[in-house]
Amino acid sequence: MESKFQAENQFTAEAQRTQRFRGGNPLRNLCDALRLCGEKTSLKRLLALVLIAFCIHTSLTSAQQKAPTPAANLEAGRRIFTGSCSMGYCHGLGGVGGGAPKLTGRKFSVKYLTMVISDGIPETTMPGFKSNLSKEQLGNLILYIQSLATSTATESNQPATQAAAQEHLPTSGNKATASTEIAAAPKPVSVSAEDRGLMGDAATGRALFFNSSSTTSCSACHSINGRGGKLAPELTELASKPAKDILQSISEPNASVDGKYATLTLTLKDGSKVTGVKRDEDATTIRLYDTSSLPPISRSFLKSEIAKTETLKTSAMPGDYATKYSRQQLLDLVGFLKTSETGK
Amino acid sequence: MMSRQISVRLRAFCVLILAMAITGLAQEPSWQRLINSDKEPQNWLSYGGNYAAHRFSSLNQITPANVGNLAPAWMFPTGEVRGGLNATPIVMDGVMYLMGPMNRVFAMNAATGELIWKYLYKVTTRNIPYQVGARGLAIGYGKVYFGTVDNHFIALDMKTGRELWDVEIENTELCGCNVTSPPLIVKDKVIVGGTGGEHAHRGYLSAFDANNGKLLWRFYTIPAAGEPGSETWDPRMLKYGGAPTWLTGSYDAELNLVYWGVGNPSSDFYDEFRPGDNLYSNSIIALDPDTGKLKWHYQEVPHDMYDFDSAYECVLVDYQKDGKTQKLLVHPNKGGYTWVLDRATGKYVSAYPHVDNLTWLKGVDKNGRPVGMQPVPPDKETFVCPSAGGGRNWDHSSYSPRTKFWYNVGWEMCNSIKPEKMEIVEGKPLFGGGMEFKPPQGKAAYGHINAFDPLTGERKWRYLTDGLNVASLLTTGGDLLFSGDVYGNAFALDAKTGKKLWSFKVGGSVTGSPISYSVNGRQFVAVPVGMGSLVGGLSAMMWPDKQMPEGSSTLVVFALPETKGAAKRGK
Repeated sequence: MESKFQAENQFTAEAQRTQRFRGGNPLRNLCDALRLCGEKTSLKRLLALVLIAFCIHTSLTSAQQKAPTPAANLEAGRRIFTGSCSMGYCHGLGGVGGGAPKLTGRKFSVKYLTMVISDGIPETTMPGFKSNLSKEQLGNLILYIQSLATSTATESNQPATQAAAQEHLPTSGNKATASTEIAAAPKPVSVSAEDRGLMGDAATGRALFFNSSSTTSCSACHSINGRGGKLAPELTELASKPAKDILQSISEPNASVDGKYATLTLTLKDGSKVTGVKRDEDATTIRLYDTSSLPPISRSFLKSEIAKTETLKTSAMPGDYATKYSRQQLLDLVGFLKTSETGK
Repeated sequence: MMSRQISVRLRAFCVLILAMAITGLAQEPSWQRLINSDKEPQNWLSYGGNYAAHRFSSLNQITPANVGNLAPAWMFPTGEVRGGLNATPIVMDGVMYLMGPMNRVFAMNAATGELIWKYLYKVTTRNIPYQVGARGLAIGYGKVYFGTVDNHFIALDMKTGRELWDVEIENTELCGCNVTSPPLIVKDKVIVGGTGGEHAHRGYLSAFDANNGKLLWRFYTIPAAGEPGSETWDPRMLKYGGAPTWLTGSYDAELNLVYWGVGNPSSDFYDEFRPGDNLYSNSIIALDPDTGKLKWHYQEVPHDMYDFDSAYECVLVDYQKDGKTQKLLVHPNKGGYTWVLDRATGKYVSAYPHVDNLTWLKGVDKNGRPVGMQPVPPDKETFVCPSAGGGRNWDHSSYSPRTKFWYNVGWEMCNSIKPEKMEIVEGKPLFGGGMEFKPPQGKAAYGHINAFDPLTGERKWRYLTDGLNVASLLTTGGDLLFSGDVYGNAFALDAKTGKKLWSFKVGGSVTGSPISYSVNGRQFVAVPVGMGSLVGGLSAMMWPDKQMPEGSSTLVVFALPETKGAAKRGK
């Protein structure tokens, strides 16, 4: 849904931008925007263009026919902005600026805002909020930021901005959905009766998996949906495995070892040995994740100091989770790993 | 009794030295050198200059009489201007270790700037919280230690720059936290703090084995359910309440106590889920470095509603009064108020404002607890002085054992705070509102550097700065104070009078921490140049007509021109 929403916005915004700047022939502008035009446009291409033009026309008309954005959406966007973006280190109340650029009096396209808010600006302190915002929230936030274009507003004169919006826009539409609840519970996928008997509480399992107050929680090594440690297998796919297999892989890590994460033992020339999972290597160096204590330690060794390298058939995963966790906790973990909405 | 105590201490010391030799901690700089760094004025061995965070060098070649002749000796660009240059350079035996933004580490000849090795850290995420700039690194036992902007703890070989280990302290995208300041080496451990006060995150300090990178203890700055202090929170916030440890602490070897400032609670401005004092946010904590156990704590701002971290440096001052020595801890809070504690017990001694404009408190009671704290209700904007940018920001103060003055920056600026509800998701931003920076009511913003009596707060002199000073202060045995401004000037003041004696156009904003050191008898002053501050833009907001420099990240090293004889000695 999110990507579709982004695509729609990008498409519309690009078309609008082109129209604004080029004027004149809308079809020419459109094909410029879509980068489909050459000196010799083929029939097929022309047909494609007509079709796309129709779609866009329909889309724009439909957008125009839809009720203009209600003041409630603008207010919902303002609330998100004030809660998250308006820290003085960042964009300041009402977008007046602070540690990050001011947003008042500036025009941004929906495409640009969607991209920057979703993914952040790499290697700057602008974070991506993709996982924080629903489609609706993102839309409301963009609406609010765009409303700052004509504003030198501070938060204190926002009511005037809202009043203006109220005056020109109908009040129907989606209501703000600001929430203050702490962490929603994950939802389990449909499971067999046999699975169900081995599945504990998914929310408790997730809290265990991502327990930030423990250095031995699963997320120190494993990730789900890309979130967590990267030195052990990604576990998102586990949801489709039988619960008993998941339970076994936690309590008996050596029962089945993914070759990609094979354990190595390096014997150094001074006689010392180090065991772990290979991280990477280059011409002169090899790096190994030492999991003998957690958090894991990536150790770097010069190849010239290594006397012998052995591949073991055992897992580098600590074997004590079956005793470290109670049976109920293990079942809770299984319950979590069997959910479709993992690692939100 | 006394001799038995000495004997026990001596034995413990011998055991420690033996253990260090056995475990490979025999390489330089040794713990003995680090903890006694005041005996090596030619070097700058640790972040604060010494373990008392004095940022004082006893070198005295550069004096008020000749500082006017100071000129650049060499310069070193880090190659990455995003993040500027926040670092405190570290110098040992003629070699400088410098960290640029994104944890780019360089070793160079401290006399010439010639590169010896470099280590360009590969950041593992594109979503870096807080800042890409870095305040530096620590050296010890033949290793360079540092935390990274993506929350790893790294050790390098000091001679070659080769990576020895890399520990992911906690996944940065899960915790919304990272490391922006250097660790503190205490005996056989390396203590690392982290950010997270503006995220749903539970703050902590971690101690790693200096020899192998293993985690030895972790102290959480928010107690677990049932632990003392947990009653000062809504139980639901115990895992999300912030209280970060983002600036480097201090250490008293005689008391064997590590002192660390703790930052604000999350969410900063919206407090529905955190009624109570919210321990140990906005507190100084004193820990036993051997065990990580809390020995005492002192909270400066209970139930903070203003983002007034207590994260800043803990300056340890042995104060002489009536023939007695008081072991004090002088601590500038972000809220423009300085607390002075007995550092053996954590008991309150005195407190005084270091800025002129304060609205958030009316004063303190006999225990130093603020009275008349300004409410920040959720339904409106509240005008608070100083601003959440601070009565000054993180850039450090300096204490000169020669003048006995404590030097500290002040910012006269305020803000309107507007709380706002936010969804609480672990590891995600949790400001709970925003603020707009404004000058104090009825006047323009201004900034200053002050010399104080560290116990009483009696002001000895004040220097009005150009803009808001975002660089740390350095004092020297020549009774000079060095710093720099955001408009691209390094400068020196007379430490006794506050009179400006020298300035040099370095071109970029000075937002890092100057140091002094010497090589072959020649004194150098190194000034990090390049805007790298979350609040560096505030001067531009307050004085929009003044031109701010473009981005840069260059270390500019000054010295007096060499005489012929000195030049020969240098060779």
